[in-house]
Amino acid sequence: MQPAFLPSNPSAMSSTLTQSTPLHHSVALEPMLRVVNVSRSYDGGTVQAVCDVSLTIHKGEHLAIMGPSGSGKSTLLNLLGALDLPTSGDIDFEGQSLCKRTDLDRFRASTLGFVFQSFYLLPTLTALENVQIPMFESSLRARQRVQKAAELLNLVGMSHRAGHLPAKLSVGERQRVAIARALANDPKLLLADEPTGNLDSVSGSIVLDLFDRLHHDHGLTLVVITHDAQVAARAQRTVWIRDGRLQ
Amino acid sequence: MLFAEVIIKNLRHRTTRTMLTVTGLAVAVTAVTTLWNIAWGYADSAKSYYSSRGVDIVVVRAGVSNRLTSSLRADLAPRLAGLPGIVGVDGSLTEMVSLGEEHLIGIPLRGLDPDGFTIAQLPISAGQTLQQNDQHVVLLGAGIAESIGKRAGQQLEIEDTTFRVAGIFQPANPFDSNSIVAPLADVQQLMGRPGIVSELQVRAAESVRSEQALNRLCRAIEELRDEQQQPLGLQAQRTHQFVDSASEAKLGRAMAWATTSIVLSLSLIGMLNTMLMSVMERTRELGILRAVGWTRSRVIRMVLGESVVISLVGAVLGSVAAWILIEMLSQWPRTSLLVPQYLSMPAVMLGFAAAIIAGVAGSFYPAFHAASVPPVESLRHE
Repeated sequence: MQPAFLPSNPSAMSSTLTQSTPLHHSVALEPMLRVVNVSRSYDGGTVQAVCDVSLTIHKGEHLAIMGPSGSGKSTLLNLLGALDLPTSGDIDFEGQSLCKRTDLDRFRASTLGFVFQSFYLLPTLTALENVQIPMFESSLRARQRVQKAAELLNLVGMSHRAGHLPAKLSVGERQRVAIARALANDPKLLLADEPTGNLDSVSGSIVLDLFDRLHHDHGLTLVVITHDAQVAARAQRTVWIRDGRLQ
Repeated sequence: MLFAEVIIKNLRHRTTRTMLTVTGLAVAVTAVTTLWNIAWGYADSAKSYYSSRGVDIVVVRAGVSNRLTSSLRADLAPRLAGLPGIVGVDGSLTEMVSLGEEHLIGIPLRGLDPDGFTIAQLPISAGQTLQQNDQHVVLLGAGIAESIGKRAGQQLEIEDTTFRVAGIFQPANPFDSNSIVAPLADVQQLMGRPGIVSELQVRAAESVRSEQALNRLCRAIEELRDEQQQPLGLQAQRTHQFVDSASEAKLGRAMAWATTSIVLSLSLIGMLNTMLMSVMERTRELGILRAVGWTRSRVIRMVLGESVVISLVGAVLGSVAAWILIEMLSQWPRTSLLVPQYLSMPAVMLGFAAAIIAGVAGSFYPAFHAASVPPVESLRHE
């Protein structure tokens, strides 16, 4: 049964996502993101957060990265999301090295979507406005931004709360708004860092259902960082990380 | 949502700090605008004073820009009048006097020849003008007459000497409106400067009113020599040059510049402090913006945009406050002499410029700081 927060009209959903090649659980083995012998250290090498990690993420894949606290999984996600650069090794996205790019801001804006454990919505802006924030780096005009943000809120079942500030939303609602924001620029890859970590079980389930829907129906490539086995169970593939190394 | 709305919402979210910064800038703009208005208003009034009298050239002792300290022999007037192209020469002795009973100081008392061409231009609104043989009579400008509540026919104490108010004149500018005119001989006697004038006011013929012709006339006056063929030591300037080079005008501009510099520095530091605090507090928010793809330049534009909005609102409020202040000061007897009743557009524009410069310059460092923090560090910020 379709979750209540998703629009009943599938065309409404496809209009918001250009990544609309349905994969239906079958992973096309075309690599999207390739991590090659990547390490990330801090304080001149005394702290080794990620050590010699190699990993390939394929188009349309739903991957979970599991590990205990301090295992380096968030550092790895920051590297995958071009929020940070490796100390050594290379990461390429669709064949292009991220380490050599000088426009990582624009790369993130046009290619990636982020969902954080703490939502990170801007407190001064309403839900509708928060969703529009990434769109400022797109070619959309103001009216188009509003229209698309409204469609995305509809997609995540938050239309009725569009005019509310984050402080007036429940944590589950905030995360759904954050997911709508992550989809703002039609990302090729959605990166989620403990997306249900601050949610109760019902809200967490809604968010995971939403991820499933985005993955199954729209072929969105999804990487979820979690230490929750139930969250990881939704993924097609799970990799474990401990002490900065993939197991 | 427009980009500008993000900026406005950021400012509204920190209402108290925004309003305090706006208030600080508004005070700065008020000071700058008011001072420049006074400085330029004084010069404009002085120029208007001469033009309304039909004076084309002012002659003073060479090397003296303050007409009050200039001393010329009044009998030089006929020498000047003999030059071709000059149709009138009036001696004028100006002193600053106090009206003790009224607690007013620094009122210009001008001694003029009752038969001269300048006094004939005074628009008398009550009573009558000065006559050739008048003694101890004065004409009051409408502004000073209103301030001290004197009418034609009443008496007035000036420097312990009693004068009768012969009439009231109604000039267009405050410089003139707050002055007193008396027969030249009376002022010379009152100040103990017999036969002396502080300046000679020259009216040129219509045929020599061009800029070049007036400059030639000035040079001809300066080249006049005495019986021993020694230079008379005269400095002749066209009225606008004379006003601009006068020490009062220079002092006014110097004070305005000094105040502008201080105010600009303080505003810049204030804005720097405000915006730096603002971006420090929003480190995580800025990290979110960078994480979702905002470029460094957009973050810089956002912070600079916030400072521009603050500066513009401060400039508008400061200009309104300056207008109110000028209205009040121009009505107050003790200051009405120096303060014109209007707010000049150049002074307003200078106030706006000062606010924008201080606001934007003070925000550069915070803006670049905000954009330079890596997003991953910003997101870790508590």
